[in-house]
Amino acid sequence: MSPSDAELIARALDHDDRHAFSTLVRRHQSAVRGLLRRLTCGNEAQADDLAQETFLRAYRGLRGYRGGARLSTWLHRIAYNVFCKSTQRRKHTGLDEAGVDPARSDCSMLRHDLAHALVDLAPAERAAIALAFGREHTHHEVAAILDCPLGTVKTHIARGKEKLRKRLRAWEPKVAT
Amino acid sequence: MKNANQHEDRLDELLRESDVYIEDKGFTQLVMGRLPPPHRASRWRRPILLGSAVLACLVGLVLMPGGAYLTEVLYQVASYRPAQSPVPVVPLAVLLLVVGGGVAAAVHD
Repeated sequence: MSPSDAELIARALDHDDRHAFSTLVRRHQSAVRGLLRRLTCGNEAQADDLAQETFLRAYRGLRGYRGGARLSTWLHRIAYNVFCKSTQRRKHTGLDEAGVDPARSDCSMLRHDLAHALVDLAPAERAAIALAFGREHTHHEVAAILDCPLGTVKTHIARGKEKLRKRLRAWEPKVAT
Repeated sequence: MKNANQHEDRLDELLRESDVYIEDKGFTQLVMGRLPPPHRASRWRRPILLGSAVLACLVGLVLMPGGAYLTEVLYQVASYRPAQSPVPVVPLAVLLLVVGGGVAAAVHD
């Protein structure tokens, strides 16, 4: 049986066990990179840079993890903060069209349009939708990650979905069949 | 209305579908390569700690009230001559206890 996150964290903290930390990274990398890819609208290179920064910050702040929330929730919160800082540094939202990777092989035209529609969402709306739909987080956990009230999260999701629905209206007859 | 609901469901489905597992492909190695180097203790750290602990034990006990007994023990051990006097078992045991305690404390680290 593979060790739990808590056991791996204890080993990493008590003995500076790099192998334990690498197991944690391997275990959570897909979720963190996936979230950041959504936040950066499919810009894989940028998302992976931010994901690396996320895990480095997690390593430095591992003692600050109190175990109250799931480790994934804690990591996603760091990832979101790293993303916000990155967008502030770039002096724009990072949502430019160049950030979208339309060549993703698994994208149908509809998915391609969805990716572009996501670009138009505010970062908080995109993050709320990415976390709530893709990462199996409850709305309470999303609120903790985004550091905002539960009601705000619900509003972000509702507004975001409304915008997406409008942007994808052209597909409505097709997707409804 | 039905179409709108179906569209909504399809949208939810699409949003969930786009969450696919991402293969590691060397990502973890990149992260591990960027971690700060592990903290390594100086090679002199242990001997210095050990010596300091032993010295502190001895000095502390000599200066403590009742340290006269330890001084006497040290004197007896130092002045032991095999041909002239019996082995000072008790003083030796006390000395070993004091020094051993200091060493154990330092080695435990």
